Amino acid sequence: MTFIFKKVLPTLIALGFLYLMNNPLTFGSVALPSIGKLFNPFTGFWANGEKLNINPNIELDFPEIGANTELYMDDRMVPHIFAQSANDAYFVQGFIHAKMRLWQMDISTRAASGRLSEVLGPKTLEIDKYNRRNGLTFAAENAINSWKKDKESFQYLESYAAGVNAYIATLTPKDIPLEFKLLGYEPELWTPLKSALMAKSMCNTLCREEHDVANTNLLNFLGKADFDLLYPEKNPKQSPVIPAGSQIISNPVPTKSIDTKPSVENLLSYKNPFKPDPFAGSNNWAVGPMKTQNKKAILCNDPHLNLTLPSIWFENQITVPKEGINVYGISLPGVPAVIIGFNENIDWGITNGEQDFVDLYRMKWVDDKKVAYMLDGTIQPVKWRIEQIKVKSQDDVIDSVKYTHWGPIVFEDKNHPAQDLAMRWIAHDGIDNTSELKAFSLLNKAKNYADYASALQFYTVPMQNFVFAAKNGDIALQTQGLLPLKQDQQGRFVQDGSLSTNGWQGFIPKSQNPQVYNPSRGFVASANQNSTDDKYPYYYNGYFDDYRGRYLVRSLTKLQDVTVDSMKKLQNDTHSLLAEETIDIFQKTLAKTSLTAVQKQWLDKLSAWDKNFDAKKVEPIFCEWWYNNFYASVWDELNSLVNDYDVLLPEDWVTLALVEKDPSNKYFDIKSTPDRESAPQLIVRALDKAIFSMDSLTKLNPTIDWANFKKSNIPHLARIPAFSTNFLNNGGVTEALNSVKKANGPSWRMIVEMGDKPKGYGVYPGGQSGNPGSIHYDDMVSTWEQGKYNELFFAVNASEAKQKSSQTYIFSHK
Amino acid sequence: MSPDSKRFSLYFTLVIVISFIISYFSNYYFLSWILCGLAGYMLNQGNLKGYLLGFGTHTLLWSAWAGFQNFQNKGLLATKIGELFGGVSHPQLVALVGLIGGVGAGLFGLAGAAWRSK
Repeated sequence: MTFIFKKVLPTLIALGFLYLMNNPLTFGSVALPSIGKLFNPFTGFWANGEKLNINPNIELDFPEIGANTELYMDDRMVPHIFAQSANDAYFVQGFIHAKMRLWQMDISTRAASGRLSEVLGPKTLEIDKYNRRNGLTFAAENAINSWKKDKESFQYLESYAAGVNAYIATLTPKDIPLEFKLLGYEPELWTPLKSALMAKSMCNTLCREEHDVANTNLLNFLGKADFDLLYPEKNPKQSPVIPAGSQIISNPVPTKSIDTKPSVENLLSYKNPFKPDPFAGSNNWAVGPMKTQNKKAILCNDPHLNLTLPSIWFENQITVPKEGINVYGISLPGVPAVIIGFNENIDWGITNGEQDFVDLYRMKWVDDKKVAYMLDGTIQPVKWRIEQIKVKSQDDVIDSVKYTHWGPIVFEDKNHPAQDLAMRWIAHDGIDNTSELKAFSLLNKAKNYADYASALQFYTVPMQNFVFAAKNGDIALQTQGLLPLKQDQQGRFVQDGSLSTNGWQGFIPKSQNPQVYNPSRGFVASANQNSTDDKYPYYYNGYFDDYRGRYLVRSLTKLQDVTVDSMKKLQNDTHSLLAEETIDIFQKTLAKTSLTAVQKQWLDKLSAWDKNFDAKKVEPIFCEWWYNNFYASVWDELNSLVNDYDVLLPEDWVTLALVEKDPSNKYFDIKSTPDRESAPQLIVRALDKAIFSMDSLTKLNPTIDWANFKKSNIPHLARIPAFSTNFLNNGGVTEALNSVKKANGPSWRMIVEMGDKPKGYGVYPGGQSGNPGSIHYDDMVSTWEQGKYNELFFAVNASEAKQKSSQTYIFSHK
Repeated sequence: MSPDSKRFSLYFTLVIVISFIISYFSNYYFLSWILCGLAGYMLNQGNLKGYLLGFGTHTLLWSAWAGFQNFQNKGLLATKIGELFGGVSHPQLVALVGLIGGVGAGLFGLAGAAWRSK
């Protein structure tokens, strides 16, 4: 006994302590990483703290490298790559992406492929199931199969993957990025499939939205007359991307007539638990030489996405003189080439097209087993895709997905099997002779409008508005991608899935996609608004933004002698056209209403306000409250639906048009009151509510302003507050060009003036490094927050890049 | 200085040097704790000295090496990690890490010594 107590026990205590230190611990709901692994100063987090003295010259030897490739890091940690072949360049791009952003690349592809639970545990199981049901891996596999047919561009993808893996091979436990250490897992090898998953993840963000169920429910609930009144497809005031009359299509492809009415008359129970972010929007425009002070074309682009740290984008320059490549811009870590940028001859930018690329079909099952369905009178078996989800510290979960003629079954209702839905989504298609990577790699070295137009022929999905400007002064804009050919109203509602004729009737010929080249007005512009006017011969529906596009066109029409500075001002413009029109319409509607002194005081204040949602103002708070209170009271008729069903409330412009044209419309009546209300009464009530709320708020917080009210922030990808920017002191609002929301907004602002040498300005809300222990993790946030820009250093040759570099990498194979 | 103290000082120095080398070049931070177990056994000066050998060397080594890296990084990362663990400041974190290393190595030093103690 004494022996055990004196000899064995101390050893057991020491081993017990080691066990506690070396394993993750869980206390109730709090999961701690392994303390010893994380905190020890040799391989723990301390090793991730970036040193201030970096090694200025690094030589690396890899068998994959064909000829010496140089990489010069400038003072903002932007790599400038100088290679002898495109494959070497993409190998080095893969290497540097991994060095700067490996964990971000890993977690993004895990999310897309439904593999988060493998490292994060059961809390992410539902999102994993959802992404697998959406078939993102299925989509990525199909894309790879079609991309493979273009050997050259597929080789780029393989070189890129080899570069990522070459970096991973250099990692020792101490170099593993911090988040891997915190979450307790290790990086795995990169593959071209993962790059395809990144591309499909973008599709999920940009073109997964569908309103089929909502439209079906609303039509069935409201009846056709009211549905048409409240949900018109086009705003007559719109300023489409392609100016009216600038594209004439004389030989449109005819469409077959089918029954487009919803295939069901009751309300559908499907509700998407992870609806895509409705704020994925963007602005881009190009101003031709006749409107600019220097008589050079100027191009601007700011894609709006969820703001995250690490940032979604990574700046880089890729130069391969032998292959005519010298391009600067932003890339997506995980994918080779430059996505938005410029070279010596042209520049380009993108915004989301916002068309509808998802159609839902109601299944007609053969029997309750739901393993076979009817199609054109024949029995078709479903194809199973086995989805085995690994879950950290739990058993695997099998949630296999059924695939049909249309695509995966995304929704099954045990009680209403006739409401089971299959999804037809463009992102699932593998289309031969197309490759987004090929399109971007050609765009990277395009020299003129013809090169740009031919590069875009290879681009398929997600549909984007590609803006273009060139050294010679040409400007253009194409809504590029595959746009399904449909007859009027087709795909607006849930359709009968037992008839193959309800499917898409092919695609609109790419040559007839919406496009404009050197329009007479001297500029091209897109802000997620409708692509075309009513004369465009093809039907398409979508989720278009109205106010930003109209404001952008109005502003550019007025501007003359455009300079880079005036474009910086426009990109940071916080003016809301919605606020402008709301206040104007509300005041006109109240013209005959007698108001109290306080009410008048607020109206005067709003009239004097410039409608700019600036950080330091209080009017934006009041305006938001006034409008939101009013809006919520108008659509009380739909409240009973909102909680239980997928519905959409009418758009802002529809609501305001109803106030203007028919202030006594029945929808202004509040159902729960005995009186019959009209618009002026609701506007006054909303005003009173806003006054009351404003008084209460200013009593609590006398220094409140718009920035402190909206509380914009940039969360870390794993929502770790210590790695996030928790408050942004800036203005902006959804409807303004500077569309800064809570955690969404301009993910990159770029302005390029073409000329003998392009002059680029850019900034994104983050930093080049993905490492929270680096000063370059978030060093651009405050520049972005203040609406300032970095001058983009576009090196003409390697020696120029070398002069300005703080660190040099030489990649070779000896 | 008594022969025991001299011997302890020699062991102390050797453990620090060897621990640094094996921790820096290996991927396992706890190898040096096991070394302390061996050193505690070989020192043969009782449980307390065995514990102090591990605790002293590792509190010093771990906090010094963490502190050096923290200095090089100007406290940037340690501040964020401290925030993640309830608002610990970066100097406190350096001290805490020293303590973790010290306790771990100390327990092994004691365990080693215990096998030799009567």
